[in-house]
Amino acid sequence: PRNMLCGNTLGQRLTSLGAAFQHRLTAARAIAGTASRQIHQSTFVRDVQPYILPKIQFDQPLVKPEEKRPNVMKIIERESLARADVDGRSKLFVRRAHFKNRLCAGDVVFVETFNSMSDTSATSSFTGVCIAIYRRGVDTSFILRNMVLNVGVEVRFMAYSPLMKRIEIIQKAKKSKRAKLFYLRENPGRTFQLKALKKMAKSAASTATKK
Amino acid sequence: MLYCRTYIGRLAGTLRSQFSTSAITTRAKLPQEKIRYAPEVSELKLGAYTPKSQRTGVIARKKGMCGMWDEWGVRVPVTVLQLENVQVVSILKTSHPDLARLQIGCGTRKDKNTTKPLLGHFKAHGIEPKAKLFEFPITPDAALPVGTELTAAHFVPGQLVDVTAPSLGKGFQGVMKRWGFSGGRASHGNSLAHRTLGSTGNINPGRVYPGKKMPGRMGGKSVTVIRLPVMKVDTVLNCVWVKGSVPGYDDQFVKVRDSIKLVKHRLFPEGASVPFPTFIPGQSPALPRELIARVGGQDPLVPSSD
Repeated sequence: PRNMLCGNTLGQRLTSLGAAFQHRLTAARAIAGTASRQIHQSTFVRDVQPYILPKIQFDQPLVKPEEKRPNVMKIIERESLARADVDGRSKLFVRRAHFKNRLCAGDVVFVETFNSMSDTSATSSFTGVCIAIYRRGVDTSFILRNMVLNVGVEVRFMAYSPLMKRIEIIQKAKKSKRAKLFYLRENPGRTFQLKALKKMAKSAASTATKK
Repeated sequence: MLYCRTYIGRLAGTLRSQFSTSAITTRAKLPQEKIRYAPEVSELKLGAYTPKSQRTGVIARKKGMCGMWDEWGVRVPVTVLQLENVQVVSILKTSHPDLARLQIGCGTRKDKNTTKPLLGHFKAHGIEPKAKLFEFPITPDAALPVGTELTAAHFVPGQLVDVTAPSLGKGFQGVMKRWGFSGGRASHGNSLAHRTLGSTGNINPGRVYPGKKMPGRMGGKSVTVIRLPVMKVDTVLNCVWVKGSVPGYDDQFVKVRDSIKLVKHRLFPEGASVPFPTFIPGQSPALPRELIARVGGQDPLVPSSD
């Protein structure tokens, strides 16, 4: 019967990335540069398609065994996170982790980013106090605040963006009483009351008095 | 015009015995005599896409929104549309000689929840009852046999699609929200007229025109968002990721079709092989699970030389 043509939406479609396909793809990459505008013809078989394959392939969707009718958005979130978590930076954003392992509001953080995807040698860096963390799965972001040439600068970084090279906690803060440190905007002097920066401020002051 | 012709045709038929004028015998063929419909296609074969062809659309379910990063590292908001048991239910003819219509069904519905007329309709075509039915106009070369399953691979990553769905209902809304009126002053003596309509007309004609913008029910109407790029196609989860937002709430049925309001060469990306009339698992080349659209062009994060 015709309804038998209809397969199950999840997990039953095994489209295997055959060896033949891979071979054709690598062999034909050289032709990609010389491709010119063509009339679209499905009869003309082109090895080079105008699409990109993800670097990390999940041939089967990441479904937990206890999930009988999993929600598509949950699977997509899980897979996006698994792909984007390149160097294990997701550990910084686990809410239940111990405060010395995870990123907290008040930590001094150093972030290095690629300037563009075409030239990965050029990077920019920014250091600052983390004043806010937004945990949204693959759209997780955090805000760093610093004073640059006597001007307060806040930068919001998307943690799992491909342009993020690395995130490092330079100094851990004592567990703060607040998740969002927006009060630092009105009281810039308070920034240096945070234990993480108190030491730096003290050492800077002592070197100044010595001179 | 059509009504006049059919009436005259019927009239001519009744009067033919009494009168036989040269005008009636040498008349041009009426439109309904020229109907060509897509023949019952028993074998489904890959065809050649031409700019004059119109492929079928698809019914999908809006699952939600998320974000992805394209090849240049730019974040793109996307809506995930999932195809659920999408099948061709029937082929219909139209009075237009160059178009046919495909009736597409999506989702499943229990027999006990389906009305008898619809049950009979599905039984006649040998399809399990579907939750939603929509028709799409197609050219006869894009005809599909009844029962063909449409999958996410029907769409080419990078192509443009139009998505039609009922918008979110906003209920009874005032004129400022519904029509974007400016309202009145907030202070300076304004009495009870901060968000009102204002004047509704002139002394002549001394009445309010029908269709005057006034408060009323807002939303819940069919809205089409045009020219959304397909960012990703997932052949295992049967999902299509389109850039931007789509009208309506999550889990709603939406109609997705190839964009029509554009210059034809912009519909599909350069060098793409268009699965025509649709992706056929046995005949079309096998695809990997996930295909991400190649945005191309210049790196937007590199300052241009100009």
